[in-house]
Amino acid sequence: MTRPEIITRFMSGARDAAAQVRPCRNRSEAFSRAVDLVCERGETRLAAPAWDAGALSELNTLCGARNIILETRNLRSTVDRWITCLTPADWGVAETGALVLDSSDEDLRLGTMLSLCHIAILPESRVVSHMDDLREDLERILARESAYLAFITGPSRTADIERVLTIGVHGPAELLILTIREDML
Amino acid sequence: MKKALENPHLGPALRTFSESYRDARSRAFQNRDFQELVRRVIRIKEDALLRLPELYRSFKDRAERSGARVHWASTAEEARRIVGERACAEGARTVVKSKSMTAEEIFLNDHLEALGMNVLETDLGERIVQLRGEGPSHMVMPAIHLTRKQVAELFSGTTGSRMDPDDIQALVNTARKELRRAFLEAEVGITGANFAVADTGTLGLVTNEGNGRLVTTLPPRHIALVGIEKLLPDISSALEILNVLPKNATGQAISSYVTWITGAVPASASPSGRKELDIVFLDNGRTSLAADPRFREALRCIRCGGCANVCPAYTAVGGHNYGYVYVGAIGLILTFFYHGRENARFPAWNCLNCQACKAVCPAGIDLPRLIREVRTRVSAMDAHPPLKHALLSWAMKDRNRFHALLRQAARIQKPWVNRRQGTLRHLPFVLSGYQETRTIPALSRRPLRERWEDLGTGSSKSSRLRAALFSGCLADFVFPEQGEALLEILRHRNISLVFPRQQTCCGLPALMLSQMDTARQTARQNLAAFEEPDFDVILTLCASCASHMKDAYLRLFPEEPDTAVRASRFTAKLVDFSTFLTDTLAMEPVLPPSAVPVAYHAPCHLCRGLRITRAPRELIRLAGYTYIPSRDEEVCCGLGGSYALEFPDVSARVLRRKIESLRETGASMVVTDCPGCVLQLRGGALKTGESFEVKHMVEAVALALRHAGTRAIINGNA
Repeated sequence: MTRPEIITRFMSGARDAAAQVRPCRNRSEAFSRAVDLVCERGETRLAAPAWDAGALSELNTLCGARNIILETRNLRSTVDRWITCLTPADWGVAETGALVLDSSDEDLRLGTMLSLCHIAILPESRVVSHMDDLREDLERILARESAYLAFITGPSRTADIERVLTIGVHGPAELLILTIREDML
Repeated sequence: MKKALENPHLGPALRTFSESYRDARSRAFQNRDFQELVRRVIRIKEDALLRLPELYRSFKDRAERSGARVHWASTAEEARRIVGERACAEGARTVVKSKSMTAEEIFLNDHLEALGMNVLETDLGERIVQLRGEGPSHMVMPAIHLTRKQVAELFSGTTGSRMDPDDIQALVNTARKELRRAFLEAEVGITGANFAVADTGTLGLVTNEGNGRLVTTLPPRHIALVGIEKLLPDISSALEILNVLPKNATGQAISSYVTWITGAVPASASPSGRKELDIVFLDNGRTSLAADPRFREALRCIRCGGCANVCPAYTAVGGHNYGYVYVGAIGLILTFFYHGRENARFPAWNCLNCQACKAVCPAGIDLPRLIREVRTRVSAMDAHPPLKHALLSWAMKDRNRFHALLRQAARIQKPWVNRRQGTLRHLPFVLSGYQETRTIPALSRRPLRERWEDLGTGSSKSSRLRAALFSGCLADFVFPEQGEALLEILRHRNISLVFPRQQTCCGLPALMLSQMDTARQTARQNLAAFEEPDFDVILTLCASCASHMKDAYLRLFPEEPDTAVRASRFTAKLVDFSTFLTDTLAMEPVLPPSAVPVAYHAPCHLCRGLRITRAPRELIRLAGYTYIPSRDEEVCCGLGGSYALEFPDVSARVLRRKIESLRETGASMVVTDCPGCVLQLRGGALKTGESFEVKHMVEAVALALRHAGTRAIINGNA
């Protein structure tokens, strides 16, 4: 597959799994989109774990201007106060529409597991065609002293009540993937 | 089991699931070579099973260096003790659990509760049945036997506020809220694992709801209970299996979450700042299973649940009414090794031998064969085999005795025979359960073998093909008209058809009852009967006979190489009726076509046993009929040989669904290639007064030729 085909395949796979996918030009645009969403929903907090200092600085500015409190650490203690979480994603896999997140950081785990809406930012350059393309990366991460690696495909789901497919069980009810064309994450 | 059959909701729920599962599964595997995927899984699993102790040592070494504690539990009791000790440590009170078949296998919850712990299932379906004090009725959807109304009532009780049964999202949200608190407060999380990767000491968990992630992240302690057969050398192997597991389980390309955990990850709720991780590997009979050459392949199981999803008996009753802890075809096998002979006894017989499970197993396990092996072993351990098995063996071993008994029975049955219909009424004892839902045909007054000479087989010198007929017991003693129809068809084609009188039962009933000596005896008799003269083809009218002979005859004589050679010569000539007409004879279309709408039932032994699917449908069209596809064409009719007598209620349920599918087509005729299926389907159709007739393919073709001949004469085309 060509690069455009890989990206298209990823997007359709993710949508088939009930995720939403919105392409953005760059990280700044993605950040703006995320903060806009939080505001539209009348929420006052945004969880944002696992971002580097530069990213946080940009997010802080955006949130500050809209009176949104940014929660970046100790998410367990503030769990009742935020419902949307914004995180980076390490890779995307076209064949299944899956996101791959190196989740050793506990706050990243808590954010992606306890949020009702998970917004993930994924550079297009990090989308691969098959899971097997990531084999070496996965081995490298899992060979560390300790590791928690997550494949996330769509929001959480169940069909346990009369086989009616219900989205949003214990994990997020919404997964929004913002892909970014320019490389810098 | 009666209770399960009577639950008005469970039946339709399971049926809808099994249909949508089939569709979802075939979509998931579209554009993929399933057989190739199976080959890969087999390679990976077989390699790993040969190296389990070595893989365990690598895993343990690696995981312990990452801060985990790794234990080996030889028995269920040891596993309960270890998990119990680790769970209760430091005064822990609450456990949150995500779904784990190994935990169910060792009855872990009971043990933890006895130790005073509060155990909360977090998988939604498991939680629902736990609140109701019930067991799960299905592996993938534990609460499928419940209606939304029942779940709403349950949650109304637990929340104290009225819940709307039609707002399923609200019901799910209720569970989410309630369990969220538990996740945050529990000291211990217990899970199973789908993979244990030795290279890196990593556990892999495949889930959809997100509870697995919460259970492994929120509590400060995590205990994973893992069957030793989950050990794999590297992540590559795990990814290969991941390629098939969700597709076969639910028809998803991948589950919502796949979680990989190495060692003790950061955990702020833990005093040490790192997760307390205990990994308990469970043996409980797996090592002996791995050492058993006949059963070892059962350990390849990746726990996808596919075999349960396609099993007609399971779809009829569901859950723990079908097996014991482990469900599905694999459950019938594992129960023997993990839960002992007594618990395996009843489930082992609850199998139609329809081969649907084998066709979907991604690990290529020959499930039907292993189920028969379990029966053999269970019987062998009994002091005396069941009387009826011994009787059958005795009756069949000697051909003359067998046929004499059948002639006697044909005489004795007279008072119960409805002459007009050719059926039996008011049958006593063993058959009475069966006849509530089906009419039973009478034994023919004159079996085929006795009619043969009178029928004139036209063995002209110029016949282009020397064919012999293996009729099978049903076509011989119950439905001789099928053999007559065959002769009618072949007469026009200048083929001489011989009926070797020395032939006897193919031996399938004996094999199914694990009467191996009898199975071999009947096979030897048949080989001898068809040896001379040297036939070009041996035609069969019964898919069950054909499939059995083609498969078993080659494997029955490991100690007799000469017999094995004769068997392979014999089976090489075997051809089923449909293939004979469409391929061997290249039959021309019957003109003018009647265009009568005809539905088809695919016998298990033809479509899966012999993998023949094109010829019968082509033959229906060649005969001038209009083929109407029906729902579940390849699902078993429910006869399963003696299954219909042993489990008449389940057999009847399976039959009823089949009849419904056929009725829906509006066809006036249903054809099939197996006298056993004819017996079952016609019996059911007559009982409920269906408007369609059930015919064997041979009868349908003869009928078409007769009518075309008549019409041709009327139209002046003769």
